[in-house]
Amino acid sequence: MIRKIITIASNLLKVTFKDKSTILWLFVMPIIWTTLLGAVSGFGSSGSNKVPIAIINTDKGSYGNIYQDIIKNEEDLNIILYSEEKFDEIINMVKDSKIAVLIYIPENFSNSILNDNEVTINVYKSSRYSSYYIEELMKKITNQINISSLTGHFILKNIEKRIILNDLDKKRYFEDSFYDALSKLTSKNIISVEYEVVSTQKEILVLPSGFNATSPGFGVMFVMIGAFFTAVVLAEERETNILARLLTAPITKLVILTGKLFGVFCVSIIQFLFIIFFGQFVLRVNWGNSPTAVLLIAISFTLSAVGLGTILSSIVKTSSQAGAFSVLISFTTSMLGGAWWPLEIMPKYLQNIGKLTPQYWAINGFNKIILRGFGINEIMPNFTILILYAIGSLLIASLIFKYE
Amino acid sequence: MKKIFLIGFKDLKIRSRDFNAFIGILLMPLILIFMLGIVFQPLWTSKPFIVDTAVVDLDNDYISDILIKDVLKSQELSKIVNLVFLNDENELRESISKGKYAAGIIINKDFTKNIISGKDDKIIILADPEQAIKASVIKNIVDTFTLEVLKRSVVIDITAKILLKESLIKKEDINYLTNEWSKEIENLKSKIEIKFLNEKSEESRTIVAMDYYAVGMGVMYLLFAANNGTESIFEEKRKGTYQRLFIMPLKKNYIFLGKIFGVFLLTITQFILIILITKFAYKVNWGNSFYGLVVMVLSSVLCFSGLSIFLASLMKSEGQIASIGPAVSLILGFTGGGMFPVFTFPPWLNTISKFTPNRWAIDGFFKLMFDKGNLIDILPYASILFLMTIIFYLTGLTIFRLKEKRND
Repeated sequence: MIRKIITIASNLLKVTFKDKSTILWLFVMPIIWTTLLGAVSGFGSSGSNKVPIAIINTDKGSYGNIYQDIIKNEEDLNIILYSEEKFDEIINMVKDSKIAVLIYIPENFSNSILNDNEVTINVYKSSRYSSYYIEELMKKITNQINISSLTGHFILKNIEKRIILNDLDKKRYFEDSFYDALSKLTSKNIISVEYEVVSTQKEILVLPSGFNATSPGFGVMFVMIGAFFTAVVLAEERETNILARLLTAPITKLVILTGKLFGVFCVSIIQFLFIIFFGQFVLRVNWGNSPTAVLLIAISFTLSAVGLGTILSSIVKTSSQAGAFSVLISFTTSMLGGAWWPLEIMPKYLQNIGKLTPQYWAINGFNKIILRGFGINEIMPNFTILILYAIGSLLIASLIFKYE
Repeated sequence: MKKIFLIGFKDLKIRSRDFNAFIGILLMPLILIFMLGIVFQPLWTSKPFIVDTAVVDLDNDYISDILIKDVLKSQELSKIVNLVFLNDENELRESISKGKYAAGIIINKDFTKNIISGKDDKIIILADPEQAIKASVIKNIVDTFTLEVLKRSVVIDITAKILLKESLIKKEDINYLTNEWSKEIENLKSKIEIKFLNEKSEESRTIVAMDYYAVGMGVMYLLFAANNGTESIFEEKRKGTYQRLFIMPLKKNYIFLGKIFGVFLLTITQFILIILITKFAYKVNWGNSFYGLVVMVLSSVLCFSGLSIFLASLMKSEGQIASIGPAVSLILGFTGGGMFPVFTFPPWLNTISKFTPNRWAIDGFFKLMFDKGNLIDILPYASILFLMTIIFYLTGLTIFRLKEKRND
């Protein structure tokens, strides 16, 4: 019996790997998709690309330059300096979202700081650019300059209460205290905020953005699409009476179905391992320290996807119907399961719906391994749920499957 | 001419009865638009998240009280910070590692005393790696708070240092002066104001995720729809119904043109349905320029029908179109800015994007929708789409003709 199952499965493998279209969807598309979307998506960070910021510094003194230099030190920003004459041109670029913000330092900036007068820095934001990160950063930098200036004037006031200062001394005391305060504010001592991402693998910690998010996420989605093609293959074989013809051979229905499903499972596992290896060795994605845990999730997810695909093949009437539903179901459930974006950005009710999908449990399992540095013990709930999914769906499929 | 129209309309009628086509080219984009719209809308409008945050306050003193009561529990922040108190750092770490809280704040023992006495100290923010976006919100809040605390400590430290150095005060006066200065510092007002100005064209309106994806997905699915039409040409050739048409008193070229017209009709019908359904069901604003919209719809539909014919000319069977077509549509949809706004693209991808019809179609529709553009404003986009249409049709038809000659 086992030999017959293996023969049917290996035959399916041969047919699958000869078909160029299948190769495209099993291997080429996951690579293109993971790479393209990974290059762009940067959820949570300021983005994988630097944010384009324009500065027009019209200040006549040195404090405008200090302000500008602090902004220039920010690694996530791509600073471009422009002259006053370019103001209209830059504003148009902001309107067209070619530049995220324009920071305009007025000509009386230094003068106002030295004379303790009020001054406004205008930040022109693009309405299409979500610039919460830049706003917070600008507020922080402005506050640092503000406190440094307050320190300078506070000291001058207290010295002048006690002695009379000439202009030169005033300037010296102000500058010394301004720079002293600024260096304290920009250095990491006194009160620091230590940001720690909770994970057992601090050395090689990654956040779910870029390739680290797209490799497991889209890996799961494309394996689902691949396994759902079970439905197309089985429906096609029923349509063309191949399954009916197989029944005339001296083999049982169970052997035929098991052989077919085992074949699809092998194809999907090969696909999954290919995506994982591509992520690990080409895109430099860290797939964690527990290959066994990764394999357990991969196997249990693939089984559940094959089971669901077989149920679909029993419900649909034709192979083209199976094809249409395969893409529809695997795309939407993958979105809900967190393959396309981090679940935390979704409304709570959608997150709860997402937990009904096998993709959620697979991605959550991979995140436990990749992001939290967990191993087999911690992914056991995910593995169990996926195996239950697989057993349930394969049982239902075997009961309702139509051979003719 | 009439016969070309008849063939086209007949093809449309056949396809409109196809349940699979209904799912693939109408239901699918509508579901995608809806899902992308509701997921991304809060993010695009900076609508705050609810951040589940746990605090371990080992300090229980003046400064930690200010952070918890006056900042995190303030009227403004209590809307986004859902605060829970824990007693133990290990309990906090374990809860975060299980994903129970997005962020954790640990305020060390004697934090207030250390800061007041000028010793270094820190506030630890723990983040759940799966909720890093939310945790970064808490980090920003605490960053801003520490800067305020630093203000007092920095001003007092430096003032005392300079006045002592210049022998203007005595060491024993520092405690008394610190109290006096603290009150003064609290009343100091910032002199540098930062003003954020939203820059958009006078007529423009804020982008809405549902509107954005109605265009992005709508345009991407134009190729899906057109491919669905071109598949039928191959299908009929395989089944022999196409060849049977040759017995009609009609030129071979006219039959082929009728089929191409059918592709155009199917694509335009699908797009109009998407526009109407998203307008009335999803409240998508397609702009105020009717003629501008008509020109954009026509130029986009013509362009993607042409692209589909060009792709078909390179294929051998409907199976190939069914497999390669969606792959091409998805890649063009992404590179053309249908899934992520192009301003998030690295420069190399932005350059590639300009070679896709999706980019010009999306930019044209955006002009109408977000910048209240009119017919004149969208002409550059429509012209480029028309130019692409000519290239696609000419190349596609030439390849078809060469193939026909070879077969004859």
